[in-house]
Amino acid sequence: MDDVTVERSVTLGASPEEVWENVVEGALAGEWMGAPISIDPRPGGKVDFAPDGTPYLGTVEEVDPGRSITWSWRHPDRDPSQVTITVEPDGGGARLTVTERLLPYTITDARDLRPPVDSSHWLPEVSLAA
Amino acid sequence: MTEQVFAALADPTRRTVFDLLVESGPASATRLADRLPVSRQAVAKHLAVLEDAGLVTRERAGRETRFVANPAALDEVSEWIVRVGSTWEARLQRLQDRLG
Repeated sequence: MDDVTVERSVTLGASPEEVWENVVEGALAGEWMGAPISIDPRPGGKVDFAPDGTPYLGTVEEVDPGRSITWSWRHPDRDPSQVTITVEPDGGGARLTVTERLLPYTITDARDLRPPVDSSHWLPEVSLAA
Repeated sequence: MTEQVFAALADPTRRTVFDLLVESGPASATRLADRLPVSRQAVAKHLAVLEDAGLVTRERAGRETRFVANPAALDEVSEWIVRVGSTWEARLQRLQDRLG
């Protein structure tokens, strides 16, 4: 079975720089995701997102500033996944592609994703397959 | 859990075991081993992983334990793909509305 992955992309009139600033760093970050999101765009940085009031626990894994960012996250009630957003020039505008991949075996660093208080309700679900 | 289903089916032999149960109906570990190039013990181990993932259940038939496929467990993976895909579509649409 191949990776379970969802990929979507969109072509935008704005420049790649403008898209990156809005998506990752700027004012639109809260709007386009449907709920406020805060991304600390450096490896190990936190991704804060709580669309239904319960926070996703997310950690940035890789950043190529202005071009791509990858983070892993999980909602306590859902499976962990890895999100990659890439922004590339497309004509006079930009093409943004997002890939979300179900993480089948393990979380990159479970410590980063551990909730601050009671983790007992979800830690057993994180399993390491040989 | 979706991730357990995925991990269980990542192994080609387990996938074959699961497919056999789907196609041919409930079977014992011994009967499955007859149809595969692996030992009954190996089949039993694979069945245990599939059972943990919710992909198979077991039933008693006389003195025999038979395993039954539960393809509904795969629905979780399909559900994830549909839910995550539509969520990103809505997000990209909002982005296009603003940065079109």
